[in-house]
Amino acid sequence: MILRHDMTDLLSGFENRMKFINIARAILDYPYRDNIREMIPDRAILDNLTVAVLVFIKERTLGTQQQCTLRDVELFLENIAPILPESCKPDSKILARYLVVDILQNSGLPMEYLTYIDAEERFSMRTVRLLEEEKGSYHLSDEAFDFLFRSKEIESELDYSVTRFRLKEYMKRDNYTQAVEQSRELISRIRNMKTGMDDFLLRCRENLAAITADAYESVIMRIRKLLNDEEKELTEIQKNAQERMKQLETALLNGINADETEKSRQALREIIRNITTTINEQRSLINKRFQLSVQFEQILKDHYAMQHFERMNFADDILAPLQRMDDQLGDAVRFLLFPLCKPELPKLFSIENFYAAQSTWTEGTEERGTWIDTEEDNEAALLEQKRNQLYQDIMDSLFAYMQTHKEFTVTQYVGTLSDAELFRFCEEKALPNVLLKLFEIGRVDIAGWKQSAEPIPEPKGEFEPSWCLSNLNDSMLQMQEIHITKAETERKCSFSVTQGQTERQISMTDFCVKVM
Amino acid sequence: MKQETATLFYTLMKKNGWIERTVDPQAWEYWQDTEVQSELETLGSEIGFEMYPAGGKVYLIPTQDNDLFLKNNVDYRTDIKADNDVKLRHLYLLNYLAIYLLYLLFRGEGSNAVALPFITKEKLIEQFNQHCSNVTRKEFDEGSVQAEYSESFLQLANMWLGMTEGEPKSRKMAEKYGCINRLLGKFRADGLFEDQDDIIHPTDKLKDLMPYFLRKSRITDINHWIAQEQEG
Repeated sequence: MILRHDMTDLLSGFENRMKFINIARAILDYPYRDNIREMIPDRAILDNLTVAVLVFIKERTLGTQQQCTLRDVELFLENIAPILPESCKPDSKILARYLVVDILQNSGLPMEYLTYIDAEERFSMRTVRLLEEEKGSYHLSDEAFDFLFRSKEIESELDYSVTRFRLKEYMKRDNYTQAVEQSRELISRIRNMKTGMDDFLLRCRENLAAITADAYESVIMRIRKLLNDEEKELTEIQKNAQERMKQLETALLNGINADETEKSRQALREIIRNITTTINEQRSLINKRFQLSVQFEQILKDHYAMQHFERMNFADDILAPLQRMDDQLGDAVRFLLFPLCKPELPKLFSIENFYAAQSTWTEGTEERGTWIDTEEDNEAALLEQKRNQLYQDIMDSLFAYMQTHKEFTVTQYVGTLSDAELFRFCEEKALPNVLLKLFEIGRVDIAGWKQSAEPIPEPKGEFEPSWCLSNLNDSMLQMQEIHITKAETERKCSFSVTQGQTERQISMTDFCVKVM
Repeated sequence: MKQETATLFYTLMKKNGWIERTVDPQAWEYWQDTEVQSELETLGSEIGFEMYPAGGKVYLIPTQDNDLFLKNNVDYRTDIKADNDVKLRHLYLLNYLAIYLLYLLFRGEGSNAVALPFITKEKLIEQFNQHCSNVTRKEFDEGSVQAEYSESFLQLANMWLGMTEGEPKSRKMAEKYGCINRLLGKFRADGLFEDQDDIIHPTDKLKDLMPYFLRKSRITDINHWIAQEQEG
């Protein structure tokens, strides 16, 4: 039977989840031998020690030592012995062997588990190993490595550095397929950090009391560390990647192993691009950190204002007196909830009240019958004229700019406008309307237009290019034609301009204008 | 008075009594000005309101001595009396039930007042049944509980226990669901609760303002009101 499409989606990569769960099981599911029980009577303590040893092996093999023998684990256990409860009497030598060999290596047997494999659409046995051994030195298997990092907050800075570290390592070994993976991972991690920051603020707003004292510190520190270390490292990796790419290009030119080289070159190109994205996102994250500080300070301030007073006892101070009341109960909500109500002024204060008398008078003197509202017509005509003038002014300004610039983008043109001009031109989005219309035309044939000298009626407040052109001074129309195309970069042209309390914001595709 | 103060006051009155930093950045900027804050404080002490910042918002809260703002938006005596089939004791019951609902959700201890994030109508009825049964049981066991409960409160408890539940959409005052639905209508109007699919949620405004509602300094006002009512 074929699985429904949505079910296939749901179960995609399912074996990864099962792997994760089974690694946890591999760590916690072990025979609790009597001799060990005597040393560590509490199994839960033993669980903690197992994970601690795993972390120790990871730290040691990632660091400069690069070696982790049983003896090292013994020393580690001795060092952490002070944290153990008094009932524990560990023999670090026996314990180290037990934790490493019996538990983490499952006495040498690979841990087996049954999992659904989505690619095969069936259940199958899989194995997992936590530790690998090489000449008496232990290091974490890839699965265990992944598990351990994911067991800590995913967005943690350590996690991020490790991904970067792995990227660097893979690059060293020219393993580009893995390196591309890692560079993608870097981007997703930095985005996770961003989300983490937003989550933090949200949690603060929801309930500041539930936030631990050092949560803010850790969020901020994580990002500070990024600023100091990561950018330098990443730039270095990127430089390295660029050099390698150059080498590959030379090799490619010489026709050495063309297929393979081309593949590597593509991988490198993606790595370089991903690192650029990561660095950019990193910078924006650092900027965001400052905003976070300001917002957090505000939340704290508010919270302090809220907590600065003692709270009464709801049951004793409010409910109990109410239960002793008779008729007065009818006023309970009115009195108690008054501070929570929507503040409203009585109608007496409304602005309509002041003009009420006047409106009665106007209604009384109004003439009956049909009549033409000339005033309204006049208003409409004035508005039309105003709009026409605005479009004309925009064209004047644009053509004046064309006299000195033969090829430019809208962004460049807008940059030369004064704030007052821009503010006016953005009224009712007049400037974008003009530009869009010109873009629609694409090629404005000035010479052709000059020859067809038809009279053009005044438009009704719409942008009419011919009418505007007819109002331009001849000296401004010395060009043959104008081409308006989308800018190659497909950038957005965004700007905002403020006057008093009014802000006008425009965001549109950037166009490229060519004057021939 | 600075123009900004007047504009801010106007905005607050227009915006249901509060402004939010992200939604009203201009008004928020005015609020950041200490001079504006102190002018609002003076205005508040004259008219009878306090400014209360909470969760990226700032609220204008009428104080008990305010006799300028409309009070009938929390006074459902007027509303309910207008309806002929609403008896005075129903009105008392609704008053108590309103405060009891707040109590259920915000009786938490420590720095966090929220005890429940929401409650279903069904659970509210169940809890209030329990609450009323405790009162009547005490009366039965101890013969007299006058010191703890007034005669009319005991009647209210008995009345509630004797009511039928009715349909969840009921508006009848003689039914439990009906009472709750009428109550929620009032709460919705003041932006304190929202209800959807028979689940009653406190609004952000209520969550923000409950610490103010429960501040110990208000106890003098409350005691004063109780004493006044008892004299009356």
